[in-house]
Amino acid sequence: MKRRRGAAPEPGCLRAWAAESKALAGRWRAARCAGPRGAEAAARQQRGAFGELLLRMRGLPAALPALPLELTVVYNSLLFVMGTSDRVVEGEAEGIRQGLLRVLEACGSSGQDLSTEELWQKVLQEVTDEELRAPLHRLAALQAAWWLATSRLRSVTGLFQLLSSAEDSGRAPCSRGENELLALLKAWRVPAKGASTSLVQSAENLKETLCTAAAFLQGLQELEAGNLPAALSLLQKAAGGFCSKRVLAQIYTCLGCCAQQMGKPQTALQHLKRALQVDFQCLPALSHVAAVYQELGETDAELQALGLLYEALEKNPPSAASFSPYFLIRTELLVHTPILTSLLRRRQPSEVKYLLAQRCLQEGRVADAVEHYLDFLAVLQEGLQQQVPLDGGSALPRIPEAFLEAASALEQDGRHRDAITLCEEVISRTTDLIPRALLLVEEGLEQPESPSPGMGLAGGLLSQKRESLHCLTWRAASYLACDTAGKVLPCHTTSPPPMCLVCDPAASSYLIQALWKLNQKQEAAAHWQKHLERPTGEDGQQEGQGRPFPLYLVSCVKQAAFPQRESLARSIQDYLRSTSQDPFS
Amino acid sequence: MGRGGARSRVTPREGRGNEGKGAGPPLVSPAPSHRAPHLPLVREGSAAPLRPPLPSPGWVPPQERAAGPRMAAVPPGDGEHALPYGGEVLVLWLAAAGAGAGAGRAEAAAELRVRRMALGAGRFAHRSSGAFGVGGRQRDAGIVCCGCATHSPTGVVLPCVLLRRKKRSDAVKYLLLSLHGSNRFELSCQFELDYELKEDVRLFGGPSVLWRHADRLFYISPDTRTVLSAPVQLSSVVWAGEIEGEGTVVLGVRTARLQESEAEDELSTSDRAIWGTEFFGYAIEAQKMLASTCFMPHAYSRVVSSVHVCKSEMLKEQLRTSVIAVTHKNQLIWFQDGRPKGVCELPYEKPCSIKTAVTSGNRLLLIVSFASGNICVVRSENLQVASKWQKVTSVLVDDFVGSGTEQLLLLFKDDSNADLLNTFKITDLGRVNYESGINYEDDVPAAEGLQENGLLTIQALEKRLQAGLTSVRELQQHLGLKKRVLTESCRALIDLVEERSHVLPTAKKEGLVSLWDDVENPPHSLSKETSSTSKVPDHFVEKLWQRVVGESLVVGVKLTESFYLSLSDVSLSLVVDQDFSSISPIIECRNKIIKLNKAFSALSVSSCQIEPPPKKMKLDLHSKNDLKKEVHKKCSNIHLEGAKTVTAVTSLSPLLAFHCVCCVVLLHAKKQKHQNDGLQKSKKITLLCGKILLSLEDISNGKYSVKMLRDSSYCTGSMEDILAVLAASMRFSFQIQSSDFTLTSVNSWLLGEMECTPFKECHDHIFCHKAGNVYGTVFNWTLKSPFEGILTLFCRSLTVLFQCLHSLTRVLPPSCDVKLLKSGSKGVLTVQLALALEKEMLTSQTSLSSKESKAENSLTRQNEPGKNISDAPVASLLDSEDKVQQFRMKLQNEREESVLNMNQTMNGTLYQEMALKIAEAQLSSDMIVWRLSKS
Repeated sequence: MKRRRGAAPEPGCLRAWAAESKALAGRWRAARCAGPRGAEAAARQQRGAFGELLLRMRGLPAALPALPLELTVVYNSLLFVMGTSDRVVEGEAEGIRQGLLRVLEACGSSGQDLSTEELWQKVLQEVTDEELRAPLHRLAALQAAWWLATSRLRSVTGLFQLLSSAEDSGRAPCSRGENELLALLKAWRVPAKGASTSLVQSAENLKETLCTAAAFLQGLQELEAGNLPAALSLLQKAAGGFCSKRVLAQIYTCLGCCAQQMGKPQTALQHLKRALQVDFQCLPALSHVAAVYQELGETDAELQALGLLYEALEKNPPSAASFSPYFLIRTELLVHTPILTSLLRRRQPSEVKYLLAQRCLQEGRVADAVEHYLDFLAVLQEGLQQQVPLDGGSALPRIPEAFLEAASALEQDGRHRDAITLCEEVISRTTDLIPRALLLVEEGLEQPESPSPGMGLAGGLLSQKRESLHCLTWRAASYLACDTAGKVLPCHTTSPPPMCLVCDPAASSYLIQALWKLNQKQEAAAHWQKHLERPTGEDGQQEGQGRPFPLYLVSCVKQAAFPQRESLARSIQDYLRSTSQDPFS
Repeated sequence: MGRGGARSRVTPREGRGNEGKGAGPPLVSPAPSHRAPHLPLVREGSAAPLRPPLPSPGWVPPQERAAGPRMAAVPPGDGEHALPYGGEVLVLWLAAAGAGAGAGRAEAAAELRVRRMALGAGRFAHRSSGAFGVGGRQRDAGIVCCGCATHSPTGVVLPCVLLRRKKRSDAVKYLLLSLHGSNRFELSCQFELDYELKEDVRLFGGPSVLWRHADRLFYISPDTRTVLSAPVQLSSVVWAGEIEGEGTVVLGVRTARLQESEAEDELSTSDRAIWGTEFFGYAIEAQKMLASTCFMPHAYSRVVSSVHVCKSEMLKEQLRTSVIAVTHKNQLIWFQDGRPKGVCELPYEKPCSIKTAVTSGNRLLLIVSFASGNICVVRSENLQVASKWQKVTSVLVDDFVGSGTEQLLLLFKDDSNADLLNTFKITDLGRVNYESGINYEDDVPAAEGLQENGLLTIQALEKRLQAGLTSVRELQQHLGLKKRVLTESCRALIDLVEERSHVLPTAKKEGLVSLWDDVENPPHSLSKETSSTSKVPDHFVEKLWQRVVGESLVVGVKLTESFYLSLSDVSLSLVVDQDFSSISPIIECRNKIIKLNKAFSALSVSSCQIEPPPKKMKLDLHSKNDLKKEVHKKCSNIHLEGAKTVTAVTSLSPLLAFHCVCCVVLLHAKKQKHQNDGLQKSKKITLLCGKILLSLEDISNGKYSVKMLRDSSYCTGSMEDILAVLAASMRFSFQIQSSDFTLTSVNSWLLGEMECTPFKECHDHIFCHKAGNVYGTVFNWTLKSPFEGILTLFCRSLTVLFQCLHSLTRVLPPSCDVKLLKSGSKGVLTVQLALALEKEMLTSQTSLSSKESKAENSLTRQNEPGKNISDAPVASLLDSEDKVQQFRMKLQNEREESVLNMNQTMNGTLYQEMALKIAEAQLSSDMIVWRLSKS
C-alpha cells in the first residue's frame, strides 16, 4: 500500500487544542494537591483558561471530528464554573446547551427552539456517532448535577432514562420498590476511560456524587412529605455514598430527625451521635439530641446536651464554608432545600441559653432556671441585634414574655425583689401600648377565620388588637406576679388584673371569683353560666391541661389554685336559684 | 482601504449648487443632508474661494465605490471618501466639471476633486484642494476605492484612487490615480474590463490593484501594467500586503486540496480534512504559491472575514508573523506564528474589517468595523474591548493632533449636518480626546489612563513582592543552615568538654536492637522442651489437598475444628518419602494460615431496623462505650469460620525434577493442656497427616490447577482453590484513612476498574478478572468507618502490587493516608499487647502465690481482715475523719506485710521454673511491642 507522507503534516487546531486541554488538566491535578489556598487560586485560573480555550474552539464551525474534544472542554470548563461558585446558578449551564446545539449543527440539524430536556432527547436519539457517546454521557452527568442542584429530579430521571435506553434496552428495569432515579444512576455505565487524563474530575466520581446527592435530596423530599420509611431508606443510602465528612454528618442528622419522627428515639440518638462523631461542627445534631431527650423525658440528659451545645456555640462561631477544591462538584453544592436548611439551622447562643432557662423552669429546677435566665438577660443586654435571630424558626419568645418568665423563676426562687424589678420593667414598657378600651376582644379572637369582604383591613385591625391584648396580658401578668411577690402596687385601680383574663377561657374562673368578691354577683353569675356552657374539652383545663397557661403564669396559677372552687360554685348556684327559676334543672 | 460602513442617505444634489452663500463654517464639504432648510448654511460656498483655480468641466455626480452589490445600490451623491494621509484628512469626491449648471449636470464631464483638511482649533480646516478631469459623463463615473500605496517610481507612499468609467459599450474603463503632494493627480494606469469590479478589490504597491472575479484572482502587474490572473481558484481574499522577501502577497481562501494521504485517512485530524477549506498565499511579483500556515491554521479559513498582518519577518529562513483576524463567529483572534494566542468576543455582529493604531506608549489598538456601522476598539495587550461606538461612517487612523503617535478619527453619521467632518471624535483611548467642537486638550485625564496607571503600579508592586519573597526564602534557608551548624557545634563542644569522642546520635534505634539480640539468642530452657506424643484424637484431618499455582505447590491440611482449637503454633512440613540420596528429604516450605470469613461480611449488619433498647444507649452516653462495637462483635462471631486449614507452599520445579514424587505431610503444633489453675501449658507434638503424590503427568493434565470462573456477579472456585491462591500470593495490607471524604471510591474502583467479583464461598474476598498482569490478584476491603478501611492484596509479584497501588491512588480522595501494615493492624496488636501484658502479670502473680503456698516461711498473718482493703468501696471508708484514720492504719499494715514478704527465701528449682515462665511471658509481650513499633 503506497502512502506518501509528504512534509510533516501541519499541527492542526484539533491536535493543538487537545494538547492544551490535556496540559491544563494536568496542571490542575498538580495544583489541587497544593492545599486549599493555592488550589482555589488555581481553580479560578483554570476556569478562565478552559473558558478561553472553549471560546477559541467555538470560534470555528462545529465539526464532528472536533466535537468530542470540544464537549470535554465544555465539561471541564463547567466543572470549574460550578466548583468555584458557592452554589449552582441555573444560567451557568448554558454552556451545556451550547454544546448540544454545536453537536446538532455539526450533524446538520438544529434545535434552537427546544427546551434543554427536548434538546437532550433529540441529541441522544439522533446522534449515533460512537466517538461522541462518551463525551455526551459525561456532559449528561454534568447536566444532571445542575438539575439536581435546582431540584429538577424529573428532568434528571428523564435524562438517565434516555441514557440507559440508548445504552442497551436489554437491561432489566429496576426492581420494585427501589427508587427509580437511584436505580438508573447506579445502572448508568460510566463511559470508558479514554480521555480520562484530560478530565479534571472523573466521571466515576461525578456519578458517585450524583448518587449520594440524589438519595439525599429525595430522602429530604420524602421527609418533608411525611413518607418516613421511604425517607429513612433513601437517607441511609445517602449515608453509604461518597461525600465529605460535613455532608455525612448532615445526612446522619437528617436520619436522626427522621427516626425521631418515626417514634424511634433511640435510633435517632444513635444517628445523631454518629453525626457528631463524624463532624463535631455539626451542632444542629446536638440540638436535635436535646429535643429527643426532651421527648424521652430524660431531663438531665437534655439539659446536659443543651449545655454542651451552648458551650460549643460559644467556642466555635459559625465559620464560612471552606473551599475544598479537590472535587469541583460536591454533594453540598447539589443539595439545597428549605427543609435541609431548617433541619440544620444553627441556633444562636442566646436561643440555647433561653431554652436551657425555659426547660429548667418547666421542670421546676428553679435555681438553675434563675441562673440561665439571668445569663440570657445579660446576653440580651449585650447586643440584641446580633444575638436574636428574627426568622420564624427561632425558639425565642417575645421579650416581655422572657422577662415575665425570668420574673417567675426569680419569684419561685424567693428573690421577690428582683422579680418585682423585672415586672416593673415590663409594666413601664407596656404602659404606652395599652389602649383605653379594648372592645370586641372575644368576638375577634373566637372567629378569626370568618370570611368577610374587608378581610385584609379586618385582619390588620385584628392583629393590632391582638398585639394590644398581648400587651395587656403581659401587663396584667406583671401585676399578678408582683402581687404574688408580695408587693401591692398602687395601680390596681387603673387596670384591674382580672379584666385581662377575660380573653382566656382558662382564666374565667378567676374572673368569676374576682367578680364575686367584688360583690358584682349578677355579672359573676352570668360569667359562671357562660363558663358552664363551654364545651367540656375547653372546660376541664383548670390544671393547665389542654391549652396550657403561659409558662410565666404557671406558678401564679398554682398558688392561686381554687381553694374555694366548690364553695364558690355552690354560692353562685344558690344565688342563681334565688334570682331565677332554677335554670339548671 | 475604503470605509467600513455603507452610507444610505439620499441626498438632493440641488444643495451642491449653493456656492458662496451664507456664513457657514469654513469647514465645508459637499456632504449632503436630508433637510433642505439647513442646506444653505452648510454649503461649500465659503470654501470655494479657497479652492485653487482649476478647470471646472461641469458637475458630475460622484458615485459610491463598487465594493459589493449592496454598495452599488447606494444612489449617487453620497460619494465622499475620507482618507488619512500625513496627519491630514483627504476628502475625495467626484464632481461635475463646471458645477452650478442645472439640467445638464448628469451629462457634464466628471472631475475628481480632493480637499485636504487639517485639525486646528478643535475642528478640521480646509488646507488646499485639487482636481482631475476624469473625462466622460459624471453619471458614468465612480470612485471604486481609495487608499495609500507605494508609488514605485519614487518609493513614496501616496494616496491612490481607483476610478471607474462606463463606456458606451458594456466595457468599463478603470483609472488608477496617485495624488502627489502638490495636489496633482497622476494616472498610474488604466485598463478596460467587460465586467464591473465588485469583489475583494484591493490596492497595493506600484500602485496597482487586484480583485476577484468568478472565483479567480486578477491583478494589474506593477511591471507590465497588464491584467494578469493567478493560477488559483479561490473563494475570497482576506488580505493583501507586503511580506519581507516575498513582495506583495495575497492571502486567500480556497477549497481544501487534501493530500493523498489525508484523503485516504478517514480519521485525519488535519484542519483541512475537518473543515474543508484552506488558506493559500500567492506572491504576486514572483507569481508563485506560498506556504500559508505561518499565518493561521487552515481551520480558520472557514470563518475569517478580514485579516491584518501586524508583523512579518524572516528569521532563520522561517517566516515569523503576528496576525489579527476577525471572523463570522464574531471573534477577534490574535495569531502568533500561525498559532492562536488570544481571543476576544466582539460586541457586535458581522465584523468586516480590521485596522490598527499605534498610540502613545507604543500601545497597539485594534479597530474593528462592523457591517452595521459600529466600531469597537480592542486593546492588544489584554484583548479586551476598550471602547465601542455606533453610527460611525468611517474610522481613520493617523496622527491628526501631531502628538507623534496615532489616534483614531471617528466620523459619525449626522443627519442634521451635511459635512462629513462635522461630527467627529479623535481619541487614542489615552490622553488625547477631542470631540467635534470641544477642545479637551489634556485637561480631562481619561479613566482608561488611570486604569493603566493602576495596572502598571500593581505590576511593579508585584515584581517587588516577588523579589522580596525570594530574598526572604534565601534568608530562611541560610538561617536554617546556620542553626544546624550551631547545634552540631554545641554538641561537639559538650562532647569535647566531657572528653568524649563526638558521634552523631542514633539513640532512638537502640531499644530495638537489643530486642533483636534477645530473639536471636533464646533462653536455653525454651528449646529444651522436646516434642512428645500427647493425647491426639484418631481422626483429626478432614481433608488433605494440593494445588499448583504458578511456580508453587500448595499443600493444605484441613483439621477438625475441635482439634484445631486445642493447638497453637501450627505448621506443616513436607518430607520426601522415597530415598533420594542426593537431596535432603526435607522440603523447604513456607507455612500459612489464612483466616477467611465464610458467607457474608459483617458489614451488612449496619442497617438494623430494630429500635435498640434504651438501656444500652444510656450506658453508651455515660461510659462512652461503643454500642456499635458490641453489635459488630456479635455479628462477626456468628459468621466467623474458624481458620482450620493449614497450608504449606513450596517451589514446584525442584520436585518436578523427580518426575514423580511422594511426600509425607507432617503437622507440628503445640498442644494446649488446661490446668486446674487456669494456666495453659503446651506441649509440642508432631503428627502424620498423610501423603501426597505429585507427578508431572497429573500436573500436565491440570489435575491440581486452580479453577476460577466468573459467574455473573460472583467468582466460583472451591475453598481449596481460594486458599491455594491466597497461600501462594504475597500478602500486603494497607490501612487507608481519609481525612475528609468517605472511602466509597475504593469499592467502586475494585468492582469497576479492576473488574473484581467476590468469591461465592467467601464474599469479602474478591478476585480480579482484569486482563493482563493484575489478573488473579485477590483483594479484601474492610471498612472500619466511612473514613477508614484496610485493603489487603494477595498478588503474584511486587510489580502487580505497584500496578494496583498506582491505579488506586488515582481514585482515592485527597489527603488520604495510605499506610502499609507490616505486621497486623495496630488495633489488633494493641489488643494482643494488652492480653500479653495481662498474661505477664498473671504469670508473676500465680508463680508468686504458688511460691507462697510452698514456702516454709512461718510468718503469721496479722490483721487478717485488713487484706481486703482494696475490695471494700473506698469511698465509703473516707466519709469521716475516723474512717480515714482507720484506712491509713490498714494501708500501713499492708505495706509492712509486703515488705516482710520480700524478705522470704525460696528453693532454686522453684525459682528457675518461675523465672522461665516470667521470661517467656515477657518475651511474648516484647515481641508484640516490637511489631507494634514497626507497624
